[in-house]
Amino acid sequence: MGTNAGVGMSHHRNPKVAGREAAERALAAAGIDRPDFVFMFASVGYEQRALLDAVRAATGSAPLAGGSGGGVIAGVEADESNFSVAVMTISSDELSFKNAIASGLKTDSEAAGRTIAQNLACEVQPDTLGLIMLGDGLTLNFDRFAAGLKSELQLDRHLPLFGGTSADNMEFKQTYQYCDDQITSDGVVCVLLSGSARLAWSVNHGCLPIGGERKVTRCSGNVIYEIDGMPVLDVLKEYLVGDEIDNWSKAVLSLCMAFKAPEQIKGYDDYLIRFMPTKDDKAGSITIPTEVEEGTSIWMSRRDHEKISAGVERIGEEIKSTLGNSAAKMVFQFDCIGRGKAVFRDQQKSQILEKLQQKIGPTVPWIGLYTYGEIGPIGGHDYFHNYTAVVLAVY
Amino acid sequence: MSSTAITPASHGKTGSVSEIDRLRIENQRLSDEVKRLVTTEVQLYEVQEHLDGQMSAYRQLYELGKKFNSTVDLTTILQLAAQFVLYELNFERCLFLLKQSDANIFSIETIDGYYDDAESTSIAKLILPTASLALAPLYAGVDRVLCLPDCRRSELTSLRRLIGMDEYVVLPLGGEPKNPIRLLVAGNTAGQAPYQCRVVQDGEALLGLANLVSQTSTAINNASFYQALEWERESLEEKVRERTRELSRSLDELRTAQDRLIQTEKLASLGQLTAGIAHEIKNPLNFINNFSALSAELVDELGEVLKPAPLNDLMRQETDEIAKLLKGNLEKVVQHGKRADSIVRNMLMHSRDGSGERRAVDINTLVGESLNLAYHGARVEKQGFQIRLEKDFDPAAGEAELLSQEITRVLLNLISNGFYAAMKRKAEDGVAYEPAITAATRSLGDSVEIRIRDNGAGIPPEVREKMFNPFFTTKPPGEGTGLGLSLSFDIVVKQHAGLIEVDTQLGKFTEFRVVLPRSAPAGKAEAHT
Ligand SMILES: Nc1ncnc2c1ncn2[C@@H]1O[C@H](COP(=O)(O)OP(=O)(O)OP(=O)(O)O)[C@@H](O)[C@H]1O
Ligand SMILES: [Mg+2]
Repeated sequence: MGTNAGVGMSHHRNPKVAGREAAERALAAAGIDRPDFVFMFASVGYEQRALLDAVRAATGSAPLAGGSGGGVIAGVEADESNFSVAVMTISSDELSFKNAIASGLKTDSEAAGRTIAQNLACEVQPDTLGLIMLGDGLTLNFDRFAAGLKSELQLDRHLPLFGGTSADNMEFKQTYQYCDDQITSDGVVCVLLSGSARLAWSVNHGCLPIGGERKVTRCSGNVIYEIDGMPVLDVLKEYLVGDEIDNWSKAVLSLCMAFKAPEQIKGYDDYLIRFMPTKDDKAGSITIPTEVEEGTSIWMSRRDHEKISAGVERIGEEIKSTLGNSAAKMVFQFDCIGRGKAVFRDQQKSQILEKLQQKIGPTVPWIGLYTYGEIGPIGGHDYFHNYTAVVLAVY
Repeated sequence: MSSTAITPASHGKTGSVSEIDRLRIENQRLSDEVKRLVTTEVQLYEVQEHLDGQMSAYRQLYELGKKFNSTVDLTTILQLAAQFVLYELNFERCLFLLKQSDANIFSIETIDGYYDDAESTSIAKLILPTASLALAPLYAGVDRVLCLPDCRRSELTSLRRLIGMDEYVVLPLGGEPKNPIRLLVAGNTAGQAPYQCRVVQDGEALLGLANLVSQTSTAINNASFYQALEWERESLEEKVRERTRELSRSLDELRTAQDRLIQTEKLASLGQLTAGIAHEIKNPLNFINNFSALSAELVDELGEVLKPAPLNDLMRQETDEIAKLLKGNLEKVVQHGKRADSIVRNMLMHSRDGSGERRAVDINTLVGESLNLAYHGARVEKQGFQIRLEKDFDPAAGEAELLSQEITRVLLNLISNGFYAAMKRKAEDGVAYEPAITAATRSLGDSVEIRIRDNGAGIPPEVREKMFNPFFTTKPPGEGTGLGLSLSFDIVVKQHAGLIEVDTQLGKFTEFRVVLPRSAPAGKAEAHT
């Protein structure tokens, strides 16, 4: 029978109705009654418990993984309101999805990585394809998490990591991760994907540096205090208008940091992008989702419309050339919250999305999330990205 | 622009040092310019976003107007407006309250937005006196009441729990200035507020709400105007329908009365005609009857006379034979003469004026006796006669002033018709069928009803048309006179000013219904002398 997947979305303001509606639409689109696995992406306006319960009830409590985001994508519909939920239901006899959850990212992301590995180690098979993960976008230290996961799994081959970090509505207060009946914050949910299928993916950002190279002169772990010997917040003010720095959620949408891309991924882009989810006025510092060392070169950067559109086109071409004549069974899109309504008007956004889906397969079940960070491998290495789109097709 | 162009100044020659400085300054200038451009771009985008938002709000409001125009249903209008508050203006909750016409209170008309079950049941019961302090500004002509998150005014904060909103705005909708008939309340709980449109002083959403309110009240006005027209039209139509019904009812009555009149007239004239004929026939018939009886005796006497006569054997044998035949013939004449006599007597009944002593008779007793009489009569006439008798007597049937003998004749005839029909069906259907007769009475107040029902084969329409005609019968020749029903009709309708009707279904039943007034209408009986 192969794989039947379908995606449904709802905007109903009542979480009980919205959850049921999205799930029922997904089941109808897949043409199935009982799914083997469910992905659920939702925005944070909903009472999360009522929403998850409704989806669980409508999907016969099939195993589920998901997270909150700044918006959700279902097919060509990308919604960044506070009230939208997208559900993907999957029934398959060729693919297996095993989920696990861990929390406490803030205190110890590495330990969370080990916990996930312990729970999923026995599920790793020769035909295991990769791991889809959603971690709290406010607290995930990706490098530590990946280190913990890999040290515990001890695989002799590269297990590619895909996904993103869960988000809220740019309030940077609380994000959610879902695993079966569980809802956590400061957690990470992972899905181990195995089976007789292949993966095609592409990673692309759309940022350009503004001005010259600068150097991190004082930092600790993933916290930056000084750039070029100046307090980091003063440096940022150079790039922001008036009191924009006080409206942090807006500031981080218009400004990000670019790091020189490592040699091994030179073909990808000259830069890897990082955003600055939090600042600390008292300490005069900002944090980024990965670690830095003193002396690292950075370029203050901004998103660029044209580069984003061109980049999405490149994603479509790359995936299409990998797929060849095969059809994708399903697609996951992890797109930065800063690449949605923050840069594009609704119409432009759906045009870009539609073009991408036309390229990869207009009828492929397609689900996506607007995230605070994106995870996708480049050149055989897993990377954390910001202001980036990661698109993963299972075929 | 690549940073690799910048190298420390000390590494170059003097000439290139100034060149490098110049480049550095130029680079700095360019980079500042880019920063400025970027910030301008951000500002531009914000303005554009803002304009987009406004455009879309106007578009949505326009769409709402179109939807309003396509409905005249108040509930639909309020639902559309509430959905607009939720989905376009992005408030968490929305209520409409309506002023009760008979009391100085507002009560809930529409609830929308996500409430848990307990909340929505309690809010559904919300009652807000028009005199409540929170509403006072509306009655003073202020166009809205705002309760912001930091509001401390007790008349406003006390409303929070009642309506389930921590920040809210109340707008009057419809009615006169300073005297609204409806209230729109929109707002958020503290928990959900960050995800919703905030309630703020002079916010754009307030403008949206104000626009919505004016559109909604226009739509409601239009709808109620239309409703009023509709009601007017409907009540007119209803009146016309009622009159038409009355008219057709009285037409029906007229037609039955006419039918009955024609029937009565027909029977009356026929009655008179037959009575005349009967009188004329009665005398010759008497001769026939008397003389045939006498002749029969004479034949016997002739035998006696001839006894001593000297006749040979053959002749004696022949005369005996002839005498016997003669006697037989005469007996037939006597028999049929009697039959003719009974027909004539029945015919004469038709012309009787029905005068005579009326007396109060107990209906149930009368019907009961008739039933017994008919039953025993039938058993005597026909051996093996078997039928189930049922009585359904109304204890309140009471008495009526009647010519009891005449009514007994009517009942006997109806019952024996029933017996006949039931037995006929029995002969056709066999053991599976049980013949039955029901006699029922019922008080109708001023009159009393008697029903005789049999489960025979029913009466086909062509028989029904003619069965009240005198001499109409379907019985084999010699068995019935065909005068039973026509006589019954005379007695009931003419003599008693009553009513006789039949209800029948082929293969199922026949029921005759006789209605008799309890007291004789003055002069009626004499009308047909
Ligand atoms: N209960 C009944 N079921 C079926 N047919 C009936 C019934 N009552 C009357 N009829 C029909 O109406 C005809 C007329 O009835 P009516 O009583 O006037 O005369 P009759 O019964 O035929 O003769 P008579 O009354 O002299 O015996 C009947 O011959 C019969 O065809
Ligand atoms: Mg009869």
